[in-house]
Amino acid sequence: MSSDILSEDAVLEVLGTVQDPDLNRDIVSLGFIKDVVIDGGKVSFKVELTTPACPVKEQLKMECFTKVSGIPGVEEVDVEMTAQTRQANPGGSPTLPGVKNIVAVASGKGGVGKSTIAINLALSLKASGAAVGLIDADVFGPSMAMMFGVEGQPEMGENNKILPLEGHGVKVISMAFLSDSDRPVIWRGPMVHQLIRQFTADVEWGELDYLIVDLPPGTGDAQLSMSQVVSMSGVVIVTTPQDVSLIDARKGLKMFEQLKVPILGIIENMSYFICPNCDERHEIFRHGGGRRTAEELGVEYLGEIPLDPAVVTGGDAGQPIVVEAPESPAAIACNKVAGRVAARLSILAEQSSGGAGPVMPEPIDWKS
Amino acid sequence: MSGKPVPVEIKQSGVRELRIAWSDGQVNDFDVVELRRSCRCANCVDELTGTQILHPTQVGEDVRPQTIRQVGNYAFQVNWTDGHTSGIFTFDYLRKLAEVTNAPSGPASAEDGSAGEEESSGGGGCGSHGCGCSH
Repeated sequence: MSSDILSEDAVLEVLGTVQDPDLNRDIVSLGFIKDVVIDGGKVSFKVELTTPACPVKEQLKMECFTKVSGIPGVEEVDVEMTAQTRQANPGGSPTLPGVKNIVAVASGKGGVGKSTIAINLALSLKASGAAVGLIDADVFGPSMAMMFGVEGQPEMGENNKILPLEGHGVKVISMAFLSDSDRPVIWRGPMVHQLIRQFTADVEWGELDYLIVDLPPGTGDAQLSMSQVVSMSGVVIVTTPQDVSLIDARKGLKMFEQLKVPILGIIENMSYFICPNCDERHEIFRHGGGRRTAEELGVEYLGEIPLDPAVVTGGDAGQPIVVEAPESPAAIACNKVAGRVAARLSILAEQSSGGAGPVMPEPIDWKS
Repeated sequence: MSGKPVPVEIKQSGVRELRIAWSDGQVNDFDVVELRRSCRCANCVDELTGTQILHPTQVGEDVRPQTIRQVGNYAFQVNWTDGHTSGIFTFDYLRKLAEVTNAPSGPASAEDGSAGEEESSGGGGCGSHGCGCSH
């Protein structure tokens, strides 16, 4: 070997100038670069991101490719993008084994399209290559079954655990699977708590990168129980642009702040409407309230989803927009928001790693 | 997120002391008997009026936790030897308790000193039973 032959160090040196814009560090010191193989003038390596839904995946790939191609003597570059989803677990308490991130989708008031966002968020993450599950924790108005196009009763698996149903590659559990669709659920708080416990700990979730929880609107039993039973990685607040909705969104946000569930950000749904006839953008409920509220409260604005009749018909037919029309503006907006959510979780995971360990990894048994 | 300190470690530190180390470096030893008396659950404090229902003398000096479990990201819950299980102690509340009844092992403040004196003068509430201060 002569000295001007390519070395791994030379490759790592140029890759060390590639920054991850979310984690604000170079991808070499973040440990993203794996399996560097140099064969004559041919260089191949893997870039292992912290989430498959990384919003800057293509941009990073291109930058790695260009920079390594620029090293003298390099004739061919092969970059493979992979991902190992990190665990964001702010409470450090034992949560669900195998589940890396539990993300709640909440809203202060009903009718803002929370379930639609939860479903499409789950499917966007799934489409990026992540393993995803979905809990319909809207005990009183479960809508997942219809919107997701899954029906039936879950079966019991080993150790008396409930096996979730699967729709579009996502594992789902819903009150709708356990109750008659026409009969209302009339329950007091303790039963809601019991059900939330069942939907988390008693379901065979397996290995998941993201478990999305669709919460009922408001600040009640289900929200509180969910925040108590598991250590949630974060919550996204869905709102529409009107002031009324925003007031409630603020309340929801404050509740999760008190429960020390990190606020990943605010999503503005029904943000605008693109007329199918004239392609003109109409801001029916005004626009930008979500962004303003996010700025006011110092949380991230995750993006906006347009009002699109296809979202509604897709939902009613069990064909969510992300699956049904992946190229539509609403689906693209959902993917973008999902990328931001995943990026925020990666940032939280990065911030907590190397920091404090679990507060109480196991219950304390008092010794007398 | 709010920048309030959160526990980084919670453990038993004595026969009746529970130690919390906080993210800002402060360390507090809580007397568990006082902790039981400070329970804020609906059986111990009236939910609407805030009136104290549980009288300190109803809690014996021999009460101890059996198990302490974390609740979500924000609190822990204690199963006590007197059968009480409904109390959830939020980290924010524990920090507040630490400020008023407990001498942090960090730099001592004048307030802690005066609380100690009150104890010797036989004041009611926490002071009459000692409050877990090491002095």
